[in-house]
Amino acid sequence: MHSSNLIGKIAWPLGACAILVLSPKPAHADDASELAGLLSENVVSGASKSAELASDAPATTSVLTAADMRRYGIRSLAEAIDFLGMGVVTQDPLHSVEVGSRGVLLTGDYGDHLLVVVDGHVLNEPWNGTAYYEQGLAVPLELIDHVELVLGPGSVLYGGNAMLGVINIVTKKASAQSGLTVVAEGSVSPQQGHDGAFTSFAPSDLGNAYRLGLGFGKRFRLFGEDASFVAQAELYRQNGPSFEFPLQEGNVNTAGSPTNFGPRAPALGVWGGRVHDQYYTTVPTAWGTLTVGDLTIQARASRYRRATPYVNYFNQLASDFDEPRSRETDQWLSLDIRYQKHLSDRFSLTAHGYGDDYRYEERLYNSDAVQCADAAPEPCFTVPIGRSRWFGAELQANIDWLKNDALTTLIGTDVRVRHIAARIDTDLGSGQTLSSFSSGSVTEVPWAVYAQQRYSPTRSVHLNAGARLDSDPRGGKHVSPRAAFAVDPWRNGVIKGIYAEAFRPPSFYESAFHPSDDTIVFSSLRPETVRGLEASVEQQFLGAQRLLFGVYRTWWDDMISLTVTDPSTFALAYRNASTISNFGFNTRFEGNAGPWAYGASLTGGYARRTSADGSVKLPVAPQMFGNARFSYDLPGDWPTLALASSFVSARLADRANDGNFPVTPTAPFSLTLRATISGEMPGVTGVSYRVSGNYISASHSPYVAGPIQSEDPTVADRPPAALAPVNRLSAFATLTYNLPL
Amino acid sequence: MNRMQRRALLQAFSVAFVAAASPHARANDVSVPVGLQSALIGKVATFERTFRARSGSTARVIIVHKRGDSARVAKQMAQALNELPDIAGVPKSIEMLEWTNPAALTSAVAARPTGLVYFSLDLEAEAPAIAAALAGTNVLTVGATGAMATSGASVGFELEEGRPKIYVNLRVSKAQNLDFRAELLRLVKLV
Repeated sequence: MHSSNLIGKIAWPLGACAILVLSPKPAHADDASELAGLLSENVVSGASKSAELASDAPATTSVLTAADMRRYGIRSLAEAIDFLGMGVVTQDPLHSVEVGSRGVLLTGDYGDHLLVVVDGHVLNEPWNGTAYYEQGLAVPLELIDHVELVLGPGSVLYGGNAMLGVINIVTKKASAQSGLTVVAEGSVSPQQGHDGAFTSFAPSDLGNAYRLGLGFGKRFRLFGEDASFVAQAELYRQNGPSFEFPLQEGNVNTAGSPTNFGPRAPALGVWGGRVHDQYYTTVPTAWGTLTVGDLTIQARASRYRRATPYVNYFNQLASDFDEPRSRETDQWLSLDIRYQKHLSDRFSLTAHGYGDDYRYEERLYNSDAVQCADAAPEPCFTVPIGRSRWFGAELQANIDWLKNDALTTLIGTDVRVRHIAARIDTDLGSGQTLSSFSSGSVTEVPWAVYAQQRYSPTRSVHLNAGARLDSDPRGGKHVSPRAAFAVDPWRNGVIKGIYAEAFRPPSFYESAFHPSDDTIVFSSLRPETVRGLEASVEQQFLGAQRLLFGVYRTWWDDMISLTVTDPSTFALAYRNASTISNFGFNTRFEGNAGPWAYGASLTGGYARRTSADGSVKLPVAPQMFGNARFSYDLPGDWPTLALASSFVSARLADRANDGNFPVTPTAPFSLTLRATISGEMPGVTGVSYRVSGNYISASHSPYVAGPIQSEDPTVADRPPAALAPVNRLSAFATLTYNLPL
Repeated sequence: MNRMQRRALLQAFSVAFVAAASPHARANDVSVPVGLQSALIGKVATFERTFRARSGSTARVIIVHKRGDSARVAKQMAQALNELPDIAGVPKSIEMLEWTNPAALTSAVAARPTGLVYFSLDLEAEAPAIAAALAGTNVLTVGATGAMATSGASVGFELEEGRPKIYVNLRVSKAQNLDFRAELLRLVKLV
């Protein structure tokens, strides 16, 4: 295409828009604007477990659509959150990403303060509350219809873990994913040196990732009922890029000898150099949904294996340098059965059965046998193992008193049985298990009852109040209330106010953490709680343009953290050790005009943790973050051009508050830019493509890397902390072929 | 697990099973909430050039339904439309019609000037026959689902990626002598 033609194609719609704006409007122009506004309304179901307009819902929500994920080159839930969402942010330690919301991010929590729900099925498992947001989520992106980010405490209908909020993922129906779908995606990233410099673009030095997927969707008749089947199997694999870590010298093991970091370390007692083999991910996933009449059966199987390229405080305290045998593996099997029916004009019932089997295993290889969890005569693995299995039944009744959705009562009960087991093995290099300790298991039956009343006395007033009583063997009985209102005081404007609470019972991992005991002894911990108050105003104008501004305040109590219980022996245990005070604002603008689509969000959150040791800022949690994006659909068969950006402010590193470093380790402000071209492949029916480039301005993330995780404050000449690198540059392409059947 | 816990669990599963097995109406529902559908109907009618002339002083709306969920949604739609001050600036009257056959529908539509016919749930299978029966008449037919528009209504609603979409079947629209403004067609999905 000649550039003059391209300019012409872009310029004439702009000129036309200008003429339209300046010209007197015909009478139906207002109708078109209002219709565009109605069509831009998001319909959400995550906030109150019933379909309602997002502007009326009893929570602040963002909706991330599949169309936006395609056009902005999104490859994971974490990327969707950062580039398209409001109020939620992720941080990538080159491990599984961490997630926070509105100024609160609790590093090392494996996602257990945010509830992840896929089509009503809760993913957070009960051993450690784990949920993932990158490829470890194991939900094929092509199957996601939209994602709802429901901000603020959300235990009222969901129970534990929903402290930061709820991420409600809604998958596609067969009507939207029909036929055979083949997906091939690949990416490359250059080799990086110290301070994020690009040291090689040679093909043999490039880090790479690929994803291969095969999907199927079909509607048919079965047993005289409408039926559909949607499924996708995929394999994601990532290897590299290669990073170089500065050398950290003078490391000694617990026996007082120079630590042996294995054959790839430069010398005894020295950690660092170039990592070639210890940064990889493999995720095979299979996902399927069968619907027959009112019955829906959903199943998922996945295995998430990954290696983190550096020693750190959150998942890999001791390992050989660049040792690919040091890695983590999560395996998941999920089954969900749902049956919903309207028994009368007023009364509907949902019966929901679910079951999951989750296994976690980490293997940390140490040439230095002293570094292992138990004394070993030779190089060994420390192998923490966690396993949780649970199944349950949820029964939910909805009463539509006036038969018009204006006065509805939701009542429900949820009972589950869960079995959790854990132990830490010490294995020899040959694979033989030398010893096991801190082992134990438990079978528990938590249950809950909840009720919610919605009332819309007029079309402009929406009230919602509810409460949930949870009984958890590890958290006792806890009530989580919520009350909210949304009113439309003027044309196209909504004012909302929400008070909500949430809680998180201590996980098995936290309750059972007694590293010095052979068998598990449970600690008596109270559940964490959070209370939240927020208000927002949203205005729709010029059709599909929407602007939201909100303020919030949250109070977090009984926060559980790893605490030194005996300074003389450095004994550690989880304790209800702190509170968090948090407040801030979030704002969002989004809209579209002709071929243009755009959006931006900004969140400011102030949070401080207070404990017996004083008051500190939360490490890793950015106090300011946001995103901005726009796209342009070129006419005809030409592609869509899109540019997305996200940013996070400078934030403390994970070891900032207790590492005794001479300079407080802080990750710098970071801006991520992503340019994407996408469209239908000309001349090849059914094939679509997208090509993206991604650049991150910062060279480091807020995670201290290497064996020096803290220093002796009495030593005068202490080196600064080394921060983990980020994958600064990548290019990727996706081809999708859809064959209607 | 103690005895009380086992009993509570057993009871919960029993209730869930009994509820799931009871032979009552199906749980069909519209993906776009009825309240939003009624607002969309009010707007869509303003973009159909023949609507005002056809309706005269009062826009007659017929809501066609079957029994069960179909009737439930029809009643909700009747209430929602009643709450609208007008449709395309024309006062409206709402009538309910239980589905029997295409001839009965055609007869009802022909009895008096009719602005709009709304088809509730579970009429997708009958949609082709309905389209054939109403061919040549001048009436705006709106389905509760996108499938209804695909099968034989002029307009239908479907939730896609969390947002409402208007489906427009131009073939049916043409057969029903409808004339949509271009501003509308730019915002809809043609099926």
